[in-house]
Amino acid sequence: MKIPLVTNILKANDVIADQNKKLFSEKNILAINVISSPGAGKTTLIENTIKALKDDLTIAVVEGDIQSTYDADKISKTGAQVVQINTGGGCHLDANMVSNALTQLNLDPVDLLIIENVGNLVCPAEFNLGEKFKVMLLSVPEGDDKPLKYPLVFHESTALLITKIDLLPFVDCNVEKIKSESLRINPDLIIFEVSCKTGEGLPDWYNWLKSKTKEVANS
Amino acid sequence: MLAFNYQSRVNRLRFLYKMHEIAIVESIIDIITAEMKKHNMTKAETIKLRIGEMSHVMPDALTFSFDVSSKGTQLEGAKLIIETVATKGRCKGCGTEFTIKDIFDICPECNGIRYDIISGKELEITEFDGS
Repeated sequence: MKIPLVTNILKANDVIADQNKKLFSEKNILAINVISSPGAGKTTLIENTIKALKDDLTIAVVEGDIQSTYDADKISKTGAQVVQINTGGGCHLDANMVSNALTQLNLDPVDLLIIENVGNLVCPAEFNLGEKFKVMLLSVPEGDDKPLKYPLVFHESTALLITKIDLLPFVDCNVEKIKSESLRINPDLIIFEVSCKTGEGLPDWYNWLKSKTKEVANS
Repeated sequence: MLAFNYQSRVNRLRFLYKMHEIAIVESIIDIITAEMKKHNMTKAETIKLRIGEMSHVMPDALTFSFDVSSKGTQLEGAKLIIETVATKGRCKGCGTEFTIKDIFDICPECNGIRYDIISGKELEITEFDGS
């Protein structure tokens, strides 16, 4: 017996992602999905962002890792609400995991929800969590060939932070090449060049994030 | 702050947990199992899929993951028939639709660099056959 279907295989994920999106909309929360390779500086960037914007925005965090609460422990020292998800081997967060994590947060006072995905430049680009947009990081030591090698994540992201620019004197990395190739893949990509070590470039990121959060709050 | 731990779900597939296709395969098994129940079927023979080039799912890896994951389920022994869908874009400038071979491709009519993806991201089950 042949049974015709036309079913999106990731329908189950997308249905829950839409529920998450609806919840964020009801609470006027900007939710962003932060994606990068392991070690590009996601957690450090989030820590710095929370500290810099503490008088402007109430930020909550959902942390995703295969194992350990290391990242959530670091974030909790900032005083922000944080929940840790351990995927136990899964290489990306999915909407159901995020939905469960949200039940552990008091979302009423939250302006901005930062979801730090599992360190991985491939799979997170494909799984919708209900976020408003994706923000990706690429650190200088990773090299300037990454846009060509991982085009989907560059295509799907709204913003790219090129991190660890303080290391430019010590590694071979052509930042202009990263920028021009990223923009060929995604002409609307907003690019920031930052160092969490020296603070360089961070104010532009903070201001942009603040303005995006206020846009959602006022909508 | 609490930790949500999904270790137990992954343990039954622990030797494959590094494979990205696992999440896709689990979904296929769940969807087909539910459909089989609806139609009082006990055995799945073939499952037809449409996989877009841009979905980054590798058909070989998907087939391998499916063959292993479906063991012990009603889908054991079923064959996946995979149709690959080419990536196509529609130019935001002039509306021309064109096939995209390379992420850097531009509109062949107006050289525009901005386009909407109109096919290539599919991850669909279109039909299954069983008894």
